[in-house]
Amino acid sequence: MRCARCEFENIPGQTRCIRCGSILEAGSAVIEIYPPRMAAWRKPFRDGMRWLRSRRLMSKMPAVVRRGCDVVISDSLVGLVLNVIPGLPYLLKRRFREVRLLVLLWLVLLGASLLSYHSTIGSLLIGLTLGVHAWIAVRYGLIKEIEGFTERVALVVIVIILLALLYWAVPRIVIRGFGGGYTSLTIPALNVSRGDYFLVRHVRSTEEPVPRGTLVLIEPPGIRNARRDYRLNSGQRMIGQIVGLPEEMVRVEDHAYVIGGQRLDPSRFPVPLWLQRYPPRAATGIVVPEHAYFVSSDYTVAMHGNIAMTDQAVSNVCLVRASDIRGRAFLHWWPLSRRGFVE
Amino acid sequence: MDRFSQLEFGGDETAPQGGAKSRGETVRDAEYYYREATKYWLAADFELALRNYSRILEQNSTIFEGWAGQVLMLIELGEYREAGVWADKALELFPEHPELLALKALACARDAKMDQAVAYSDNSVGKENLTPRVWLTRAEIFLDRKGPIAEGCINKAVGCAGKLGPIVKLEAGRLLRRKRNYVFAIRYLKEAVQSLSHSPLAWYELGCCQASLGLPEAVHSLEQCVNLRPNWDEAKDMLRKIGNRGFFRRLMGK
Repeated sequence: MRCARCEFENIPGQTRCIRCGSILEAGSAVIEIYPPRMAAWRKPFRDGMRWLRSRRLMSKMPAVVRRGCDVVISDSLVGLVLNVIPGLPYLLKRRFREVRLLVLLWLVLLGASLLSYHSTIGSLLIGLTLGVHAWIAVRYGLIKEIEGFTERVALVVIVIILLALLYWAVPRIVIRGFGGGYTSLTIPALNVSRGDYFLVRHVRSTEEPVPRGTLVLIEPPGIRNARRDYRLNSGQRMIGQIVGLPEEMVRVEDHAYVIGGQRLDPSRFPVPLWLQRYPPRAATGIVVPEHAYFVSSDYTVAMHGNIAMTDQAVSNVCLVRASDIRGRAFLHWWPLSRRGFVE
Repeated sequence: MDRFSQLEFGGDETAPQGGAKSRGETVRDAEYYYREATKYWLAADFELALRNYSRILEQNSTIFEGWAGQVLMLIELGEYREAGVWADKALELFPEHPELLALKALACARDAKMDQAVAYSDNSVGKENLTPRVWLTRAEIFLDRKGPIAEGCINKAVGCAGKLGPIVKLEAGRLLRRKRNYVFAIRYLKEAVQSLSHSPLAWYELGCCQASLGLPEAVHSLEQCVNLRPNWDEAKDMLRKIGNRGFFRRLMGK
């Protein structure tokens, strides 16, 4: 086998020339023969950098700035940005084979994490998905450009943080009309237990009437008690059940709700323990005002001292304005065994 | 493939279909694409030249001229970083090749990375079988700082050029023009255009040098260039600029 460069006759089977080290035979499929090209937008940046270098201004800048400038004009940063969709720059550069298994793994992990969303396993899987995504992004070239173990670790951490923000933001932008929340209720008739996760569809208008028994996502504003004896974890989103409709009277008798003199089935409309302990005392019960609902939920109420909850406090907790109802639950998401649409 | 054996230094043909017509249909092999690439390079159409160098490697990826040509065209196109990357890649296939080292040095020098350029150039000069490119690169690096050394390097490049003499002279003229040494550049370019009369690039470079010195021959040179490559905007602009030059511009030598 003759070497193309030095014309030395090599032993058959050799891949490199014994004399000069040149490759002896290589098909175009094995070796990449198309050179990399510069994107047009990068030209002014490079010209600027060259101008600085030619006037020896670059050497006067701090090392971090120099490194930053180099990274900005490199392919790797563009690759990192394009890797928002994992594997996209590889695909564009016809290098997808390098990461096809990683992308496949990412897809599998993403699918599994979506299926087990809002469970411990789901969180773990999302973490792994994020890790694989970050690795696909940094291995495009950036990790090779940065020297030093600490700097590389810092880079990976930064990329993971950025991707975590992306994972947090994308569902909120792309699927704006949806959300989710946990329930603290146990409703035997609906096969709902404390800690279950529901997907909710946001309500479009507060004028839209919500039927009794609907599971809704609420964001209670908290108890505004003058004596500050009671405290509710305000701002916490939770799934509650609509019990009283506007202008109805709600009472609690024998561990069951009574609406307008009619007793509701406790297996379908369970009364939370705290309300069983402190039921409304007034004979008329609690009157639900217009544009509000009586929402049953096991609110996290912290009380100071042995002061019983007054009717006013119960009203403050349970009466939720229509505008504070964020959405209606439509899918029982977790646990997997009880997954299904809400009736 | 005998290196540079197919170069045509005479004649005025510009169409890419030259070559093996006598044998009937044109054989589009590596040699054909090499001729094409050289033709486009001498016509200053570096993009097409690069494409043809890539086609050489499509035929056979062990042909050195394909790799070196690609790196050179990337440098001509101003993509110095890519040229450096590609030179590294070529050096994996042709380790320690002086011409590739010189091209890497040239890419660094044009990218204003002079320390690296000097290092690569020193490395390339230390090898055996030096090519004119090694000396031309060295000349380009040292022209700013040590004029006499650069002059010696150009002489060495011309001396070892052999059959490649006209091209080396053209390259020498170009690098001297880039360093605004127009008088010496014209000397080399005039010699180059005698052999490369079909090259728009040679005429353009000569025309630009003459224009910079305020010589009236610039118009003729640039007209030749435009005749050979009518769609070259840069040459046409230059010609127009010379025509529009007023008294003060001529006085200032612009």
